[in-house]
Amino acid sequence: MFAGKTSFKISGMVGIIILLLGITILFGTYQMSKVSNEIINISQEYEPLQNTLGEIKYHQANQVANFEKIKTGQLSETDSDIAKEEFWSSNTIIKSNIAQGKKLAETGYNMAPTDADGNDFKQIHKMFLDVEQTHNEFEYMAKDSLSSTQSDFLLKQIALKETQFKEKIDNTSNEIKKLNEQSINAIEGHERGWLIVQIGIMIVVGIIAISLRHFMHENNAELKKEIESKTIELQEANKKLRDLDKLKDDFISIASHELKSPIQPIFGFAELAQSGDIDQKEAWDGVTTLAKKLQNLANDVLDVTRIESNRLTLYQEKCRINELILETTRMLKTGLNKNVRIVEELDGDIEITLDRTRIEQVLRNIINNSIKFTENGTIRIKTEISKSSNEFLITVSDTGLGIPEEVLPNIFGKFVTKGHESENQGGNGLGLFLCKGIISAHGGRITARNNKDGGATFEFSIPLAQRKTINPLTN
Amino acid sequence: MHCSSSLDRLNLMYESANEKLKMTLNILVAEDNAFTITQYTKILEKNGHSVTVARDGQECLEKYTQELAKTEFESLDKNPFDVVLLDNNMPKKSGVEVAKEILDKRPNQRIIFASAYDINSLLKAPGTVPESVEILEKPFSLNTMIGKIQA
Ligand SMILES: Nc1ncnc2c1ncn2[C@@H]1O[C@H](COP(=O)(O)OP(=O)(O)OP(=O)(O)O)[C@@H](O)[C@H]1O
Ligand SMILES: [Mg+2]
Repeated sequence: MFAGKTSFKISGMVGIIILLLGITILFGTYQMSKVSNEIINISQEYEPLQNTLGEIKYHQANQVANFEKIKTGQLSETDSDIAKEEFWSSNTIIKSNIAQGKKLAETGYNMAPTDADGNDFKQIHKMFLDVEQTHNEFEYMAKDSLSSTQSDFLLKQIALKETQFKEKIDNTSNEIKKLNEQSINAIEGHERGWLIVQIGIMIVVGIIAISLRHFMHENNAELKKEIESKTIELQEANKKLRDLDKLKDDFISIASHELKSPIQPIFGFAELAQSGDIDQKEAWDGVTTLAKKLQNLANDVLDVTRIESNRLTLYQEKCRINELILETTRMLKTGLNKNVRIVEELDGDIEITLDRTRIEQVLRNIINNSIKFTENGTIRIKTEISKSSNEFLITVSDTGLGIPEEVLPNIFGKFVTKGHESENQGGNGLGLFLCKGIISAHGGRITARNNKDGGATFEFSIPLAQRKTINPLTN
Repeated sequence: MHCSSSLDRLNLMYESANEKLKMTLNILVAEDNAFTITQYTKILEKNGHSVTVARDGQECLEKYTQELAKTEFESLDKNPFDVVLLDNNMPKKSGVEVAKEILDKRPNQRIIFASAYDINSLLKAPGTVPESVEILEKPFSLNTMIGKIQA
């Protein structure tokens, strides 16, 4: 079942590849969405911080301007009051902005996905604290200065603080700008990384696809080979079956024809006896002969089917083979009405295990053939034990017409028959087929050849030690 | 039968197709079964016909050709036998082959095919049996055969 294995392999591979692709794509997508969300969150945090710093800067400038206006002392009472008012309101706005900046930094710290991001926000928070401190100092000094008389020293101090404060704000702003740029860089870095991952996925998919193609191709070739060999096997089996079928058809048509052919003369005898054209005895003799012929044919056909379906059962027993031969020839000699001598030259008088009836059938078939094809002459039956091959050898040779050239190659086939000239040489051509089947069932061999000085020789063997397996040849 | 007037009368009768007469037919029988040959000969001779026997297809053709050579001297349009009775299954040459070869020589030769083969399978395969050949399926009664031959 190679075909089954291969298709299983293919479907397994395809399944695994689809699973791998799915996992890769899913992982990639998850990774991308996670990273970009984090980065967007962080960079969104920086914007309000910058805005806050802008506000602080603006109001600080306002505050300083109002402070200076007051300090020139050229303002009217009302203008001075307005300036003072504006000074303090700017101060409040600055304070609240600083507080907001701190809060934003704190939120950023809490939201930061990584420690590094967290540290960035901590740094910003610290800077805001610093800004607050400086502003508080400035506020304190400004308040002092507004409530007391002119003091150049204090004013100088205030101006210093003011610059310090401005610097601190700018520093913070720069720091935030830097961090923002860093995070943008990080986004780009991640995007680049993601691009690499995508390229990686594409390459992996490409490699998988190519290897799949290669694998499929190989498998296809394998599959094709398997299918081809299976097809050839099937074709061969089919042809064998067809041949067998044809043989069977041939057998049936020949056998049925042969079985039918004695029927016509049987009817003829009945009709002629009835009309008195021949005498009763002649009719009965004819019918008996024909019936015997039919019976023999039916038996032969039955034996053929037994041999062909390996159902030839042997009833084996110990038997003195030479005695069996003598018995057979004695019977044949009594019916002999030709100038033919049957001579036995028997050697090796031993007991062997065989089916008496079947071996006698073989002997009768072969010796009858010799009688049939010998007008006058000698039929010689020889036996011997072959020590080398551990068999008993039986040879029947005659001085008759010899085997026709066209018959010899297929002499042990079914319905292979050729009468020479004489009328009673006709047969069914089953005799030697059955001989071969019976001898094979005994585990022996049978051969046929023409003698150099005329006539034919048949030789067959029976193993001395019976083999366990009995397999009659089917052709 | 040796008197010429009775011969003339016989020839006259031969001319009139409706008359049923016991005439002498010259019959060639090809059959390989010895018993069947004896029976055919017996019944045909009893009915006054003359029988020539062949035991296989080849012998049948040889006897036909021999007779043809003889009769061709007498008359060009007379067939050597009135009827050829052919068994299909014979050694050396089958009945179908023999029938074809005979019809090649004498296209209007009357041939009766006696066959144990199933008639249908013989008729179904076109070209196997020439159309003009009559068929008699075995086994048949000898009287049926006589009837057919004398028809
Ligand atoms: N001793 C022999 N001498 C010459 N030819 C032989 C001899 N034995 C067999 N043959 C040839 O081998 C053919 C096959 O023999 P086989 O015994 O199988 O059939 P058969 O004798 O023709 O018919 P069956 O035995 O069935 O009545 C014979 O027809 C004959 O041509
Ligand atoms: Mg035989």
